[in-house]
Amino acid sequence: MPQYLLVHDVLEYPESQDDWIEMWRSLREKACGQAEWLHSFYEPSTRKMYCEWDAPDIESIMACLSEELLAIVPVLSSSEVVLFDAAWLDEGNE
Amino acid sequence: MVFPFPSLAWLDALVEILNSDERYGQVAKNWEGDICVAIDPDGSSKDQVETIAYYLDLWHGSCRDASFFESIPDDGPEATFTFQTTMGNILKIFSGELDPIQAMLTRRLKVVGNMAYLLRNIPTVLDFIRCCRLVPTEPPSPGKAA
Repeated sequence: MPQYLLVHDVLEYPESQDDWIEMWRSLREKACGQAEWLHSFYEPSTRKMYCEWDAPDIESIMACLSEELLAIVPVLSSSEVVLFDAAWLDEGNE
Repeated sequence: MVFPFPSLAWLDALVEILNSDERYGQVAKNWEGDICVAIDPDGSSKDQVETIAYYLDLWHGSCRDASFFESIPDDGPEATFTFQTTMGNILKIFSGELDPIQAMLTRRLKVVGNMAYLLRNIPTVLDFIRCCRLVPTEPPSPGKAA
């Protein structure tokens, strides 16, 4: 399955813990079909979110992102990427 | 020297670290807001029967005031942010077994206060936890249920 990295601008933050959890939960529920949201990194200094996905194509990822969510965290860029796992280097030493 | 947790001595040690740690002073230089950390009993401490609380007045990278409550009085403490958790979970956060962001996302660490401000200042929150982890801590003896 191809992997994608999406970069989002974080324009707004939820006001309460419940709103914050609900925002993540609703994305999690939508992102369990063909496109799977793996994890995200947040860069506080630039207020950007880097999200890694497993998906057959970018369209299946965008289908998981509601208009409401995209208004808060619009996509700045999306790229198909290839994983290099640092742990693989340990396997070569065995 | 090791400080028993929870205790006033542990809080004093934390305040000393917060007020002398250069990194915290830099990371938290824009933070404005007092916090209350309320810790519920869950059997992780054989001596704890009531909710205890720490209050810290955190302001621009320093701690201006701090109090320890062995039980929470009716009239306080009130703070800009209240974090509520159990003794077991706070000990896991201090030991690094539980990630503080994960704890908030799973409500193992409940937050009352402006989440937007907290999220904009995540580095300050994480560095505060780092300072808590710097306190040489003697954890409580677990109760029978733990």
